[in-house]
Amino acid sequence: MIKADLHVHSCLSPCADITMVPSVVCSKAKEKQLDIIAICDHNSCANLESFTKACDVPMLAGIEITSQEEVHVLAYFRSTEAANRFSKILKDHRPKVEFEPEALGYQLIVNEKDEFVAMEEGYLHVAIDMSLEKIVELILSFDGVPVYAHIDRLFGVLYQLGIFPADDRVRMAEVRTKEGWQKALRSGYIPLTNSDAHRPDEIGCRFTRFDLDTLNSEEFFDFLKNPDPSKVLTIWG
Amino acid sequence: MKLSEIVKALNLEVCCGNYEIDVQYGCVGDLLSEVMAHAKANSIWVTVQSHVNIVAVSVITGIRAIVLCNAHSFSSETIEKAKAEGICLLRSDKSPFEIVGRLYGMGIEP
Repeated sequence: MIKADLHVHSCLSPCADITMVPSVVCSKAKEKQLDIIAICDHNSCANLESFTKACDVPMLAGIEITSQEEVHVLAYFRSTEAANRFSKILKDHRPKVEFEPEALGYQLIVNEKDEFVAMEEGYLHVAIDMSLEKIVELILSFDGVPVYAHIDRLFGVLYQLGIFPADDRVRMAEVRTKEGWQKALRSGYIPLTNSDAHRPDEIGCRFTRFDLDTLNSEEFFDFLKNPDPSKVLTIWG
Repeated sequence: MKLSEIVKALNLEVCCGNYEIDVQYGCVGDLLSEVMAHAKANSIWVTVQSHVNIVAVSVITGIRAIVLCNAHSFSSETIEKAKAEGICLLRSDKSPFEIVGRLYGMGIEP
């Protein structure tokens, strides 16, 4: 059985704690006995490479995208390289918003030694100039896996859009509440429970178990591409 | 109140649907879960949200017309769906604040 937390922010996200650096995230993940984690920052993956280098816990490449409708979607990719290419396109569609880091939070790029090396310019917590449908399409065109983030709270698909989109190509949905879990199941989505950690002590507070033997992140990605619902277990089963 | 009176008074662009209908109540908001929870039947809905799900939310709640503000546009998918469901889609360059204020002044009820 694999224990995964597939939604963790790094110090790149303005809303995350600046202590979310590679060594801290990695040691917390081990403490919580997580077999795999995914770093999913808002609309960018500039810290993925450093985290992947620094952390010996297997890591899935991820990004949390905000659509035009202000719906948050998680995207997982086969490699950091694929995520970086995807992220470049996102950047072209990201409205340039000047912001005051002291008020809204710092967007820190780190190296594998936890050292801050640069600040990402332009506020990341903005809506990308692309519809939800287009974003899902773009993720799939990069061989990625789209997952609705926290569907049942602010910026979640059900919160923003009331109901799931029709003819949906998304198969998995992250849920926060038992009610959300039931809604996802009823609508035919595979629910995931992740922490959405913004601080070290939140890492692994929620997790999803996968009934798989392998620990290889490549094979794990293959499973997410074509998930078997009976092998995905949330905190409610 | 006749929707056609509103269309004329606020100079709304009619994108689809019959506007020779009556609306009694109004609602405003862009979070569809909120609108679903609070909108009354026979309402006119003021929003900047143009996702196709606005049609489904209207069908569920009994909203009869949607005014899309700040010069946003409906996608062809949204218009097709609205035609099929008989929801009247309207557009304006004005802000939701202004449209709602005018509607309230004309006697549309909360």
